[in-house]
Amino acid sequence: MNSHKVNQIEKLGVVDDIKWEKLRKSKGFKLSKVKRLIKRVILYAVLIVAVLITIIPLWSGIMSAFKTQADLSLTSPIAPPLIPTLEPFIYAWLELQRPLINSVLFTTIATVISCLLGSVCGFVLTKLKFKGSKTLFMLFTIGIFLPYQSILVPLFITIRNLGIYDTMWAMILVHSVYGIPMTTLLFRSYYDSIPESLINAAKTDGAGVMAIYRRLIIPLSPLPFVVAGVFQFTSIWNDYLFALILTGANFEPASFALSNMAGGTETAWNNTMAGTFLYSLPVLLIFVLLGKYLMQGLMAGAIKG
Amino acid sequence: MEPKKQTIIFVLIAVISTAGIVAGVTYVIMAPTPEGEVDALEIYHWWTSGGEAAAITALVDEFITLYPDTTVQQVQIAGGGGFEMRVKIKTLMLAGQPPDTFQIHNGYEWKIFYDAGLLDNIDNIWTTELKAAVPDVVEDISKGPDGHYYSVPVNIHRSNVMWYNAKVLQYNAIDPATLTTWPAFWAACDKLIANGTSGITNPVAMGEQWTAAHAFEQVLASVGIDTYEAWINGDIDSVSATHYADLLTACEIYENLTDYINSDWAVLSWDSAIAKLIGASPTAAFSIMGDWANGEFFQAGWTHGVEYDTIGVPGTGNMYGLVVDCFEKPKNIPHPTNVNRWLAVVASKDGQDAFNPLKGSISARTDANVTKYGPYQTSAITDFNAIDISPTSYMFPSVVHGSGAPEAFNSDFIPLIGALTSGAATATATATAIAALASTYASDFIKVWSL
Amino acid sequence: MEQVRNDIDIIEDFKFEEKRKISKEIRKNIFSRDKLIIRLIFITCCILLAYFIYYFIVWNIFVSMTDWVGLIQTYDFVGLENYFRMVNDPIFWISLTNNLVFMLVFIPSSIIIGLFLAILLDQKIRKEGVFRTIYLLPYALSFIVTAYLWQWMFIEDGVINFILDMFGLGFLKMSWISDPNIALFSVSFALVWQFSGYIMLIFLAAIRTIPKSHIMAAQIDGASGFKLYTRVIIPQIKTSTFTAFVILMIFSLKAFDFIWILTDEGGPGWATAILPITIFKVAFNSNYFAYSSAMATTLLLIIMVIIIPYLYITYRKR
Repeated sequence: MNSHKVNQIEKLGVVDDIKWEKLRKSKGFKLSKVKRLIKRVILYAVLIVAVLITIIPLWSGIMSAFKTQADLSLTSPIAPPLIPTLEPFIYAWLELQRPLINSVLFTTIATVISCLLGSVCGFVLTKLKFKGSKTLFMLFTIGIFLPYQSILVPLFITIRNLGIYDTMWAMILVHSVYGIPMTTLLFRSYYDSIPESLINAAKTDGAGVMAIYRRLIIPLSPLPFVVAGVFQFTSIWNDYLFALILTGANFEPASFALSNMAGGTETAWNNTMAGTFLYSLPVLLIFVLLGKYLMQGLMAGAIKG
Repeated sequence: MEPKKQTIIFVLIAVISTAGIVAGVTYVIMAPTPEGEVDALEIYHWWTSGGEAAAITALVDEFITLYPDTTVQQVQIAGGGGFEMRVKIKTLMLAGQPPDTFQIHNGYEWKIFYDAGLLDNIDNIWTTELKAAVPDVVEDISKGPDGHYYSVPVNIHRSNVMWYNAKVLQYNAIDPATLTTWPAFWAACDKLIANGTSGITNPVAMGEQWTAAHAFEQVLASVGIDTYEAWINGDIDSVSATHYADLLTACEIYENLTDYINSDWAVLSWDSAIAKLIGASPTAAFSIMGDWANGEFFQAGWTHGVEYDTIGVPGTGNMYGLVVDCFEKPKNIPHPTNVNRWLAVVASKDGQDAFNPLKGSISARTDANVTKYGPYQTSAITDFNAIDISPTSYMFPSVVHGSGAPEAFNSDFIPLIGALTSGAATATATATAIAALASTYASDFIKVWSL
Repeated sequence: MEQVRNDIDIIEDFKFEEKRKISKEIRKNIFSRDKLIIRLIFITCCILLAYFIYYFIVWNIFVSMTDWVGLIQTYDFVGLENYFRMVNDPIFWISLTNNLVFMLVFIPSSIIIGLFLAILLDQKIRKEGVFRTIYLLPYALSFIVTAYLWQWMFIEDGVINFILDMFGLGFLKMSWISDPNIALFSVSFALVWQFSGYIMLIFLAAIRTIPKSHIMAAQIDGASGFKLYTRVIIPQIKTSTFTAFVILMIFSLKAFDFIWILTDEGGPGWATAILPITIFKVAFNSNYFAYSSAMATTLLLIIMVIIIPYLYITYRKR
């Protein structure tokens, strides 16, 4: 990179696109209009093909959820149903309603808890630096990459001894604890960008640590809360391994109930697909609604890169 | 703070709190009545689909007629082809919260609980009357190594069944009665392909890995009951073992069979495989599957002996492959008395005759009321009773379905057949590997069968 | 943000001396109540993680050195016996090889496709947000869901073969999962489908945070289009590539539910049995809990070998 030129441009203060385009044109970098148009068409064509590849499995799944068994064998897998039916959805809803409620419940609670804990840990690790805080942070972060297969046996025995096997509390506890490393990482990266001076200013106003955290850090960090929230909600909602090991008939999470419904002795693709759609609806909604904040969060360094 | 950020925070809090409140309220409203009812019974099983669910409900109804005050709760775990049920029961037992009673394949599959001392002996259920009614092999499966009884069989499925589309065979002038040997079967398959009129290119429908292993088991039985017996006794443990040559032959026959199967077998569940035989334009004519497959034809509105029919897998006409489900009584359960009552109902003639007609299986007792069963089952019962008393006919327990060999052996054996089916391993390599497997798990083969 | 900037300005006016005095004062009140609450929460988290991660790891290592089989809960210490058994177990090596092949296919494909999409989306695309959201959708789905979706895609009269037929490419039809030589690639393809949107997002965010002046300088130098990317942008997103690489790497070492459901426990044969699958099978199908713990410990070790240098480079050097 030519740093000299960079400085020059920065001095010029060319920041907005219109000015820049003018500058570029004046220097003679322009493509002919036809060439540009062709380029754009190809560009959009490639993007749309990628959209199709992304969408087709989902589309096919949703379409079959609206088909009857007979319809399934008559129509091609990506064609819309001949006579749309809601029966698979009704069947799936009856099978999944209770587990879905269970999942909403523990996922929400565990998401909130792990985000709050993560924000406190991130705050302490960045703003109340102490000896060994970096090492401690690394020890935290290793938790993100922990293969859960390697702690299943101790985890199961601990949950059993706590007497919370097959209850909501087991799911909340486990997901909250294993969520801390990820949320801490997200919050820490973000708090890193809050200037030290700001905090010192608050201190001079006589604010204590708690007050700083509550009045300064929390209001400043809706973005990491959204990012961490989306991450946590998605991964807790989608979890299958813990659901399999730590719950029984008393408290059945939706992920387990879905695989139970879909993997039975008979495969009814329409019911399976209706079930997967119902189960995926909350996370899909969250991604569609909050997806752009995820992008902003990433840009703000939510995942260090 | 920017107004945009306030909106984010607001949206987030709103979403979370609404979800939380809605879920919380619904949870409270829908919460099941608190436990602690003295007179209750909790049953774990994996029967969720149409006929199966109806069958277990009929059995539960039978129980409720006798004990109307008992609240019966069914817990159905069907996912992962029985795998989820295995994990759940194992973790429940390990957690010290055993269910009152649970369904499992009879035999080695419950040995893990027996070994840990978690099963109660139920000799009291096995009355002289029951012992007389149940064939010896089935009775033997229900016994622990200490000679006591630890399970009650609820049904018998036949594993060595060759299903075929009768119309297709008729159209191609193939006489199913001649298909008693493998060469005759290959000839029939080749004829189907050569005729091409039915559009069938892969005459034999096969499903995912375990169904492949299921088919292999029948092939193994077809080379001789002695070989099968040696196999489940863990005696084919080396290339020099007495029956090794037969094992190799079975692998070769099976390899031949895989030339005729559909290409998407590895992702098809067993019922999707059977579905290839059914419909206006079937894409397969044969399938080796246990007789639970009968329900698929029944649902399609087909009649046994008209649109579809069955023969024994070639070479196993005088045999009855046993797939047996049973119920257990764990120790330290909340309602032991009710479990005793339940097991007695399961073992009774009426209980068996309530459950099995709907399940598609036959009664584990030879004194079943034949009038209650459908046409396929009636023929199965006839075979079953005849094979029970004939000295030259045999019943053999299934390994794939948890009765004939240790769980660990089974777990490693199934992928071996998967590899053979996919062409990743040769017949010789597979036979050697199976023998090596038997020697690895030699100490786990605790039962000596004489079929 | 406006507010923040004002605050910073105000603070700049403060004298250094004054600031130091005050922070000293705060440090004195270590045991003031408010500090205590925050510290208490923090210490609780530390204890929880110490217990649920590090103690469990040690516990698991202990289990891996016993002869625990089945549900019998009395077992003896046998040292490294399970590890010796593992080294001699062909299935362990097959699983490890599968894992490597899977990584070699899955990671580069996801990164290349993700980067490609990110570059395309960086061309001042209209409705960029819509494209981004669509590409990201698969990542939101649970592996159970995508496993069933792809089972549905891979069957003989399923979507993939149907589309191939539609375009007259029937000769490309294959037994996607049944053929042991393709199975792992089919699985990888499905997972690339699920992950590349997320990788795209990481790259897009990284490209967007490159200072504009750098790009402009390059453009003045005459770099445009392809050259601009190879010379300026791609070198600048090295760290993001590294992050994406590690995320994918760790996933490919942990992946379990998707393959488990899609291919019937890692079939056909052991064609798609990667290490986590084998670990689960050994534990819950064969009941060798100690032996599976030994495999799991090995998996953990492999992951740590990758992850600790990464963490060290990313966080320690600053």
